[in-house]
Order: sequence, then C-alpha cells, then structure tokens
Amino acid sequence: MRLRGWVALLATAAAAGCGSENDRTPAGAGQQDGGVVTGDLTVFAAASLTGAFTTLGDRFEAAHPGTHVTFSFGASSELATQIAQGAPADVFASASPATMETVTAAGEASGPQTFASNVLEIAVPAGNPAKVVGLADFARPGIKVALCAEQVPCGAAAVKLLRAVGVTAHPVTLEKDVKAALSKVQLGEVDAALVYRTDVQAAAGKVTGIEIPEAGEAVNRYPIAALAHARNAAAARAFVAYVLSADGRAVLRDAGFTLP
Amino acid sequence: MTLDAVLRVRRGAFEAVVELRVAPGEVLAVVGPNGAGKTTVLRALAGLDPLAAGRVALGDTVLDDRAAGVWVPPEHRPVGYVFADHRLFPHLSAADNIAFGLRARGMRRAAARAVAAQWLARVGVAELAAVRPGRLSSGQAQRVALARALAPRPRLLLLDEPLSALDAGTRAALRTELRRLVGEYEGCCLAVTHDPLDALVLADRIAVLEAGRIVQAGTPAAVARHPRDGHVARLVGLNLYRGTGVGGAVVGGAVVGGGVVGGGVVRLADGTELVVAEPVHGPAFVAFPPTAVAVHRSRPDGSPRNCWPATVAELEPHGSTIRVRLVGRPQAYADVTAAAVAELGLAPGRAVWAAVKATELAVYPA
Amino acid sequence: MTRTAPTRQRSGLPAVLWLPAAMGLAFLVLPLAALLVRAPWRTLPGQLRSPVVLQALRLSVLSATLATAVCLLAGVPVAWVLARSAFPGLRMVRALVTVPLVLPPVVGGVALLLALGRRGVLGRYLDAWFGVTLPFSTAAVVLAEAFVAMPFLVIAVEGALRGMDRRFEEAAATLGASRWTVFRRVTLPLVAPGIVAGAVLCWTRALGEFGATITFAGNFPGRTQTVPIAVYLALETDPAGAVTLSLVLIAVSVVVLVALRGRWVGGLAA
Repeated sequence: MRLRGWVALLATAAAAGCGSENDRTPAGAGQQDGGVVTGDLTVFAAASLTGAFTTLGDRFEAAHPGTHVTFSFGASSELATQIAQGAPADVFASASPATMETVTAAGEASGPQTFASNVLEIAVPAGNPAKVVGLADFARPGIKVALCAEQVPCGAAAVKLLRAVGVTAHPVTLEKDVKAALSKVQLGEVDAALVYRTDVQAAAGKVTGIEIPEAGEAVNRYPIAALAHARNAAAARAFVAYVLSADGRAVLRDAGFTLP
Repeated sequence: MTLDAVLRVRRGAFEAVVELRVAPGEVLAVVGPNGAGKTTVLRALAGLDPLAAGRVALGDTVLDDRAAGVWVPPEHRPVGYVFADHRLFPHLSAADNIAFGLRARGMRRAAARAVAAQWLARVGVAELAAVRPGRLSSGQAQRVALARALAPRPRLLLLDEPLSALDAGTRAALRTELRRLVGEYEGCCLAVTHDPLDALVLADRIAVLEAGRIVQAGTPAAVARHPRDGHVARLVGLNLYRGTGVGGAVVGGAVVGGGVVGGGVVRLADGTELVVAEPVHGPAFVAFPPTAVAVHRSRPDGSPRNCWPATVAELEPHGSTIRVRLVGRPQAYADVTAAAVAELGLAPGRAVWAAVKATELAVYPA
Repeated sequence: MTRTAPTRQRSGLPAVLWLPAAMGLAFLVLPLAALLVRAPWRTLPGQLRSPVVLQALRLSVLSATLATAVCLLAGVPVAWVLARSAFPGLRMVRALVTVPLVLPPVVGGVALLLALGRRGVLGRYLDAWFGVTLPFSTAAVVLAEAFVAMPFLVIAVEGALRGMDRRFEEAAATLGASRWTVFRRVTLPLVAPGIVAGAVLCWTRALGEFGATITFAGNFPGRTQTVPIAVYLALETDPAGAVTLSLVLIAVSVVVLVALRGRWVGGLAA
C-alpha cells in the first residue's frame, strides 16, 4: 500500500514538473508567440547596477504577472566569460562596451544599446576625516586612497580621469571591483576612493560623496542586449525594452546614472 | 645513602602496600607473578606515578613524603631506570642515547660523548656507537639502556624486568653481564622480575611480591629452600602445596599420622591429604623436589605413603632427565630418566600412579 | 572457478575499488590536463620575463613562507595544548581553532579588518599608539595567509602528538631532562614528520589564498599582489595570460612538494 502511494506521488510530481517545463518558451518560439511575456527570466548585470536593476526587476514582474526575474550581479568580465562558455542567461547588461564586445564577438548577442552612463565620484568615510575636497587631494602625501584595478571598467575610467586632470595618485590598493573599493571606504580603512556616482548614492549615509567637475572626461557607457540563445526570448526583449523605456530611465536616473 | 621506602600506591582498583630498605651497593630483587604490582612499586620510586601514602628517602634526601607534602619530580631524582622494553630514543644513536642523561644535566656535548664512549666499551658494544636503536638486537639494546641509566651516576638504580624481553640464549648471557655491572655499581639497586632465576643470580636479597604485598623476604638461598610462593618454588625446582596440618592421633602412646608412627597429615584445599614425616598443626607448606616422585604403571606396594593416580599431561626435557607434568590430586612434576619414559611408555594421556615417600616431603609453617 | 596463479604478488586492493579510484583520479587530473593543453605555451617565456609576473611570484613565495613560519611558531604550542592538556572547554577551543577552515576566506578577511584595521578592535590602538597600520601591507598578506592556513598545521601536529609514544618522554624524565628539554630533544624530533606534513599543507594553502588576502591586504603590485590575485585580474583582460600565470604557480608548488616528498616518506619509514 505504501509503495503504491509513493509511486503515485512521484508520478504526480513528474507530471507537474513536465507541466511547468511547458511554461518555458523555447528559444525562438516567442517570436511566433506574439508577445505573451511570462516565465523565468535570467539577467546578468554588472555589479554597479544592483540597486537599480533590482527595482526594475520588481516592477517588471508586477507589469507582467507570471514572470520571475532572477539576477546574477558581478564583474562584467566574469559574466561575459560565463556567457561565452554557455551560461544560461537571457539578458546581459555590462559596465563597459569592451566586455559587451567579447559577448557579441562570441556570437551570443547582437545589437547592443547603451542605456545608461556612469561617472566617477570621490567617496569618503562619513565625516570626511581626512578632509578631502577634490581630486588634487589624491596626490597628498600620507593619504590613503583606493582605486579599482585597471583591468576593471571602474579602474580604467579612474586612470583616464586622473591623467586628464593631471593628478598622480599613489593608491594603497587597487581593488578588484568597485564594491570592494567602496567597502574599504565604509570601513574607514582608506581616506578616499574613486567609485561610481551610483555607488555613492546607494551607500548614502555610510559614505559621503564629493563630485568631480571633470568627471565627464571619463564616462562609462553601459550597453544592454538580449542574448541570442536566451531561453525566454520574448521576456528578454521585453525586459530590454523596459529598461530603455521612460519608466526604466526614471529608475536609473534616481539611482544616479546619467542617461543618453 | 640507604633507600628507605614505605609505599602505598594505587593503580585503578589495585593497591600495593610495601616497605623496602636497600643499602648502598646492595641489590634487592622483587619477584612475583605478572600483576603483582612490581612495576607499580618501581614507578612510584622513580616518581612517575604518585604515592597514595608513604615516604621515600635516599639517605638524607626525601624524595616523596605524602604527609609532609614533599614531592620531587622524576627529573630531579638521582634515579636511573632501565625499562623492560629498553625505550632507547629511536632518533638518537646508541652513543647519543647514553649521553642524553649527561647532557640533560648540563654536561657539554664533547665531554658527554667521551663518557658515553667509555660506557659503550664497558657494556661490550663499543662498535655500535653510531648505530640507531632500530638496528640493534634486543640484547645489544638492553646493554645500551643499562649504560644510559648508569652514565649519570644515579644513587638509586631501578631495573624493570631487565631480561624479560630477551630470548633464552641472550638472557643467559646478559644475566651474567648484568650481575657483573650491578656488582660494580655502588648505589642502591632494586630489580623487579617475574623470573626467579634472574632474582637468584642478581640479588643479594629477595622480596616476593604477591597481590601488592610482600609475602616473603630474605636471602636467595633461604627463600629457595623454603619458598612460600608457587612461582618461586616452581623455578627453584620444587613442587609446593599449601594446606592445613591436621596433626596426628595419639595411639598407644605414639603419635600416628596417616599410618606412620610419629607422622602427620596435611590436608590441601581440594581435600587431598599428604602424609608427612612430622606432625604439624595449622596452615603449612609442603614441598618436595620432582626427583622424589616415582612413577609407576600400577599402584605400588611398599613404603611410600603418598600415592595417587594421575595422568601424564606433558613431557619436557630438563637437563639430562625428562620432567613430566602429572595431573591428579595433587598435580605434581616428576623427573624421570629417558629410559624410564621408554619403559613405562609415558605419553600424554597415559594413566599412571605417582608415589612420594613421606620422608621426602619438607613441611614448614605458612 | 579456477584462476591462473598470479605471477606477481597481488596488490590486495579489492577489484571493486579500482573503478572509483580511477574516476576520482581523473576528476582531479582532468582540469590540470585541460590547463596544460590550452596553455599558450608560446607566450610563456615572455610572461616569465614580465616584471609584474616576477613580482607577484616573488611576493607569493615569500609571503607563503613567512606565513608558514608564523603558523609554526604559534600553531605548534596550540597543538601541544590541545593534545596534552585537559581542561573544561577544551573541545570548544579546538572548535574555535578550526573556524578559519569553515569560514569563507573573504569573511575571514573582513574579520581581520574589523580586528586589525585602522578602526579595528585592536588595530585602532596599533594605529594610535605605534602608528602601525596593518591593512594594505605585505605584513597583512602574511597575516591573512597565516589565518586561513593555521588550522591545517594545528590539526596535523595535534594528530602527530596524540599518536606519539609518550613512554619516551617518561624515559627522558628519568634521565633528568626538564620538561622543556624533553619537548625540545624528544617530543619534537619524534613528531617532526607530522610537523613537516602540516607545514607543507600550510604553505600550499597560503600560496593559493585569495579572498582573505585581497580583502585584508588589498591589491598593489609588488607589495600585496600575490599570484592568485594577479591571475584573477588577468582574467578580466587577458585570459591567456591568466592561464600562463596559473601554470607558473602550479609549477612552483609541484617543485616544492616533490622536493619535500623524500622527507615525508623518510620520516614515516623511520
């Protein structure tokens, strides 16, 4: 008797599993479908987009009942490598055109569009203990500053900006991503760091931001694209469209991004 | 510099209560079966185990006094210890092993090496100076262990079953060697062994330890003549029994015991009665050598008053005779010639009769 | 069923274990083989001459060695206490000592910052009284690596001490050796193989550490950029270079392990 019960349970579960499988629109089927946006959506996005995209994801789910958006935030280059190796993603939003280039070159995406830009800002610990006022202070002897490593978009922009302004900084550390640099500021381990304006906004209260007048010398453009092998192509395109829409732009602007 | 020790030592549920005195230059052997507490006593003297009560003093130096709260840790006692399993440090050569105690007490390396070389020669293994213990035979290792314990010139030398880990041939050779070295040693020497022969050879005095108590002490000769322990008796070559003398009855003005005029009877625990030549009362030991036992095919007539049926259990060569173990009431060892074995057709399982004359039995109070 | 008599001595390993053993081995070897196959061997000589690579390599080897030294000095006494003493709470202490094993290395780095950083529990006094700040220095690299690698050493040495025959220590005491002399001349030599094994484990773990190092010591070429960090960053822009750098690290580790292998086996056979 018990064995039969287990078998029945397993059969039901299998049927249910199969049933939900059908909810996923296989690649390409969405196009003929005519725009019913539902099901699971996986978005790979640069770490600096965490706050803004999470909000966008919630709103997207509200607008399209039945959808479930999952984000994977991380370093753009890491995400790009994963996509090139076949990770199951539907949308890719990166923090630099270069990393998007690796994805398009691998044939995983086409027609990326710039949806936002980010500029650098100085972040100092709450209370500004080292009394930093501008980029010139980065060359002050004895000061401890953190930059991003040159290999990541934030770091490349920092190098460009400092060169443009003519300041030679001696950072104590070149962090592997912008969040790590920010956390060093939050912990008070460094007196200042060059991070994105969006990061300063997201950490409001814990760090103080100092705007850089010359920030326009090094702007990071953020491209977004639906991926060629997306499992939910309809939802992918819808999400990209949503990000580019007025609603999406408003959220991004609130987060501190500059809009094209 | 006499060793004066009153010990009460506990190891789990076992307790040993012992009183010892050893004069300088004297060798006291403590004999007893395994589990009697010999090693326990030795370890307490060395300070490796604590005393439950008592006092240990070497001359004027008090090493341990429970009541007064005095306790000298082992590393500060002038004691040398030779372990049954030699315990030579496996990562040091023989010479470095011997030098260890000297260097631990502050001697410089070169001087210690020189002393060690002397000792190696003295124990007869000079060529093994650089050899590690793993490559030494057990006899060689025990010699090195002895040198190691003696090199720091301790005032008390403790030998724990020094020969038990050796095979019979090596044991015999080392026993003589040990006798010589211990004879030259000027401090107090206490050796424990379960082998009475070791004790008889090495010791000036013997103490027999059983279940944590000393049951007999004296010179080796005295103990061998009148052993009070089956263990000791067996080795010195005696059949030993413990029973109660029930005296003899007075018949017609003479004491008659067991049918012998002037004799007595000793009743053993299992009810067997042995007829002895003198009347005796109370707890008594009865002993007779295996040579006094005559083995017959059938019940003999004649004078032997002690005669009982027995079965041959095993035969063992013993010098120029064969020692036969007979199972019966009582069990006994008998020494017979090889010719007798052939004539009687003795083999394990054979039913025979054993006989011993009353006059051959030695009786003494327990 | 008859079988032909074996011509060689049989290994004694049950046949049923051969397959899982082979699969396990393949599992471990395959990623390494893939690295070797896909490595850009042509660029290797150039990479090896690059100052950044040499700097990172030198720093990695130096910091791992220093971290191992720290672990030995601090870890052997800890292992001794764990193996030989008995006090209430000993189990708790042992559990605490192994915490760095289960802690994600980045969390370990954060913890080190909170303790020894500029505003840390202890670090603030180091800064205020001695002007010493640990984060972002080579010393910080050593500390971070020592933190994650110490449990390996403590566990290995504690095991060796427990398994050691203590009767030799007794013999040494009867020969007049003080407790320190016993430890120095009897205990340590007898557990030396265990200590060496623990130190090697410690060294290799320290060499490969990434999360705690980058969090506590940051990243700066020549000062705090170890090979694992350099590899991680190289993956951003130059994956082929990252592969080469990884191979260099593996080669160094293999050379050290092989060189010490004789000692292990020799020690165990004694």
